[in-house]
Amino acid sequence: MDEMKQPLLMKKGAEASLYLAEWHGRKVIMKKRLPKKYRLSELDEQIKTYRTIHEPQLIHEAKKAGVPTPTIFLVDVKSATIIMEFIEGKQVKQLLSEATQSERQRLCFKIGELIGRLHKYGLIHGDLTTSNMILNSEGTIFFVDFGLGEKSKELESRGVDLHLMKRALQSTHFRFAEECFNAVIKGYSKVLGSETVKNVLHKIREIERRGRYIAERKRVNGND
Amino acid sequence: MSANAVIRLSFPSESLAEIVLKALTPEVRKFPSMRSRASLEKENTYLTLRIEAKDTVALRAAVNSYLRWTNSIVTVLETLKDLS
Amino acid sequence: MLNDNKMKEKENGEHYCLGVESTADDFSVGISTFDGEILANIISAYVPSERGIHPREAARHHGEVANKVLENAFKKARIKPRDLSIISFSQGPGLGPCLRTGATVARALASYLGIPLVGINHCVAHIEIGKLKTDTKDPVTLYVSGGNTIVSAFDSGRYRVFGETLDIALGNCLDVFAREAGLHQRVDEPFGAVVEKIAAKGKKLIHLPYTVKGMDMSFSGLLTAAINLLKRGEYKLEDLCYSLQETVFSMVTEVTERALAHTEKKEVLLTGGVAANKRLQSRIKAIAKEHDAKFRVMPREFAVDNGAMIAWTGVLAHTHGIVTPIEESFVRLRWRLEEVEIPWMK
Repeated sequence: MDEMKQPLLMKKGAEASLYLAEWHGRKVIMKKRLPKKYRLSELDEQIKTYRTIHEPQLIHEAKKAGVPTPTIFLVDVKSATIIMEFIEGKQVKQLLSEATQSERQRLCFKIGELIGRLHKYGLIHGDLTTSNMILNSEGTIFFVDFGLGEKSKELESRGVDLHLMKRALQSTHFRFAEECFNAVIKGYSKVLGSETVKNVLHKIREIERRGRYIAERKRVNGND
Repeated sequence: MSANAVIRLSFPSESLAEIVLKALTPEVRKFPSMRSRASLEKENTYLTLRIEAKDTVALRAAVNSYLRWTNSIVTVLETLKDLS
Repeated sequence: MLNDNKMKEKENGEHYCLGVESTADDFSVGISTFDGEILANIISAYVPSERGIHPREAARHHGEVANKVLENAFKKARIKPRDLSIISFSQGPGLGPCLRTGATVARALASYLGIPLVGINHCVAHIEIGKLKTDTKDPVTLYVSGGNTIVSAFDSGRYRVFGETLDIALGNCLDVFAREAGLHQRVDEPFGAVVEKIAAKGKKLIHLPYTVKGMDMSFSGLLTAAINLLKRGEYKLEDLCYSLQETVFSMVTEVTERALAHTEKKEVLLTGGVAANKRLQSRIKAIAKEHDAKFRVMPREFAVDNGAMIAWTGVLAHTHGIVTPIEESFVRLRWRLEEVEIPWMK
């Protein structure tokens, strides 16, 4: 990584820091997982290593599923760093706030299709937010940040993934969260079919009922 | 089998009966259990509580709930009077 | 604004709110003045037998102690029932039988005294008393207890949930593990404190599933894994407690940090029963510092479920025109934080 020219801190996230840099004449993103002081170093090491190895694998798999993702150039586990293609474009997060209703519908439908492709292929993104989606000038949506992803075809994982998308829409785009999520589901449905969608929506409702207030997991059977 | 109960409560004053009626009415209109149903009526100083349950276990649970709530209200209001 | 209201209320001789809290295993009555002075906060905790909270048993406890707790609150506050101008109660979220017991008592009080009733969201109340007691204005709040695990922050009229548990609450996870390990809790030393004490002796980090999905967390699988390891008997209890704590605290800290990075707020508030844990405090403090935010932790009396928070939030709600007619004051077992409009914040 000595060839790196002047990395510029773009985003200091909670999970990793992103630097914009030049590498062999290319504009690249350097994603570096910095040690977290709030975690025991042993635990921190485990988590960083795991995520640094798994993220590029998932990004690669996602391409096979037909979901545009950045190209990985280099992985350095020791320094918990990934160097990948810089996607020139705009965050869907910004676009949604500025878009007209029909543009929003189109974008969200497309996003739903992409999520559908991931799930169909057995991939779970793990952090579906509109800041992790980038639209380039050619109109292609890229999914980035697979750091919390996993491989699974389970209904539970799919449900949680979409639930996170819904939650992200509610917290950042609450004014039109519902119409956006409905469009996402339409796109998703196109890829996975109405039967799967029915099951996933049912799962999402179940997930929404949990977590709010759960008494005790173990208790004498009260009939309330 | 089904199990029903009619409970008649007599209060020292009509106003107390009215307060208990008001406080319990939301719990009659939206009782959570699928296994019992209740209604509450006031006549002068009396409240009549009718409970219909699917079985004796459900009946006992419902009766206990309403009587405990009534008892809490009555003791709390007595305490309030003592404090005034 | 509050001062104007206060003057007006004083002329009419009404300036106190009494709040009833009964969402889970505590029954509590608090009394607050309209400018946020807490005159009384009496808490009666129901300590369950070894098998955990039974909602009906807890509700029975609440019904039995209600008059005593109320009496103590009035004596502590040195006011008379007729001095009150509002009754507020925690309307949800929580356990049905417990909520209903508090609600019936609150309705009877309001109706007897002929004053308005205000239904309060329990989670909102935790945040509001937190802001009042720690002098924060607009924090990212981490609320961790036996029933809730929520990371929230204010945005456009409501407290938005940035992260929460997908299954059981963090405090519940610690409680169930402690119970499985045969530990015992007391009123002055809940399971969380017992686990913390034992964990302090632990040294070896045992791998447990670390599950953060987006901004949300899952504790259920981790709890099962920890219990399985416990039953195998190959590890020391202190190392298991230590590993359990380190893992769950790292998870909530990661999510809190993400909310902080996302919202760029300058304050972090830690509240709920688990807030008393020193290890968790040091973690949250560290991320607050890293993001140049002020860190505040609630004192235990106001971090656990308490009536004062319901009373104070009752004042805020009522002075902003919110009233709950008795006939519509149904309890709301699954009332989401985000559903509540917060007209007193801009």
